[in-house]
Amino acid sequence: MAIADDLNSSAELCANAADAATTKLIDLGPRPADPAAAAVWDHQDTLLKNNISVLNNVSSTLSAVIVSNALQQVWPNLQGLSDETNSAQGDINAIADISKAMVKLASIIDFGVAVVALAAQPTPGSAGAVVTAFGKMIAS
Amino acid sequence: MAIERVLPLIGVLAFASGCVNLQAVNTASGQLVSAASSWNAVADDFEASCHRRNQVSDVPSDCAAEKQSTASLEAADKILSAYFTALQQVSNGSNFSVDPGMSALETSVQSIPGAKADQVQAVSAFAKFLADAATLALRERTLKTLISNGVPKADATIDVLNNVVVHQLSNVLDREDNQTLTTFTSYILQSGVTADLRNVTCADGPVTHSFSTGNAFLLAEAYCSRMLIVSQKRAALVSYQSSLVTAKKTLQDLQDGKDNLAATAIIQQLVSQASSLKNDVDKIQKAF
Repeated sequence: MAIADDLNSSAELCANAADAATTKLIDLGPRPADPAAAAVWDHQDTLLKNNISVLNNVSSTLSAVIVSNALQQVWPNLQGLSDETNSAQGDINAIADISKAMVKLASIIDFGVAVVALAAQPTPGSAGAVVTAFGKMIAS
Repeated sequence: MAIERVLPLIGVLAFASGCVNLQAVNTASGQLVSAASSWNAVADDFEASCHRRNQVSDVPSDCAAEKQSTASLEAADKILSAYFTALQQVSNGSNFSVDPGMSALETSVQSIPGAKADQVQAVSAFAKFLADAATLALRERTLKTLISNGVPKADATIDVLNNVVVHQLSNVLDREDNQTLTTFTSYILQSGVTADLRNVTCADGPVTHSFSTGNAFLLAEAYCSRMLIVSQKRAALVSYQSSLVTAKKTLQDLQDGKDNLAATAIIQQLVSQASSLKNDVDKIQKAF
């Protein structure tokens, strides 16, 4: 937490410095017409803009680092959440299997009915029906 | 004969099992899935804002840290999204319908030699009741486990998004804001005229009489078009924060009510939070 606080303070420090430098740039006023004064103005303008860019870059980088670090700290929670979700997916698939079990049960009954029909009237047709029902039962 | 006597009982039991309704959980978790998807758009703006800032910067950044934070946030959103999707799936009864299997079973029972129509109906209804009851019991158990074990972990992650990401993304947008102001101010001053862009109301658009030259006015217009993008992102950040707070409340309600997720009070809270989440998600999606 102390590191995060330090990084946050540094990000704010850079942000405040950039804001202050922008105020300075605005205070420079319009570029003078006199060549000597304009050269001084150009130098200050370039210097301030470079400083502001660097300060903004550092402040933004620090903000991004703070976020990455904070997520790193909760990563075990996220990993655990991922495991819970995967485990639930297994359960969800198992629940969905109940409907498949009904189809399986139906095919077993069909097979039983075909066997009874064959026993009562043994013909090539009823024997073929047993084979077909058996095939469906295995496939389901 | 015996099965004919239990027919009315089967009817009552089948009706009772159908009464346990997880629709509110399904609606709320559906909105959580949408919310997590919109959070990704917010995550993207760490890197996107850095690139926009580079367009108006004298010293461009490599945006590496911002890219990393966007990737980390997207990974976290992906895990949260998968968790919310699992909640949505298990609370959606139509995902687990036993009806297709039941019609096959009924046809097969009909083919049993000597089976009467009422017996076929009774046996099929009883089998459907058992299958429905087993499915519902398994769904409730899975949902309860998902909530008990998952909510505290999801909660901890949402806390980081709320307490850390919002503040830091706000700073990143502030830096984009400052860089844009700096560059366009410098352009105007270089042209030899004075103008303070901080006084321009970009929402209404700059007005020509505030600027002494046409170039200064055009620069102010270009400045404002960039600033409007940043202010839209900033407004969406408020909706983002609001959606995080609602998501946290929704998860808390699921946790508190996990033993009776069909209770009226829980249903009302979940439905209200789902509506609030939808509102926030719409605003986030519009801005990002």
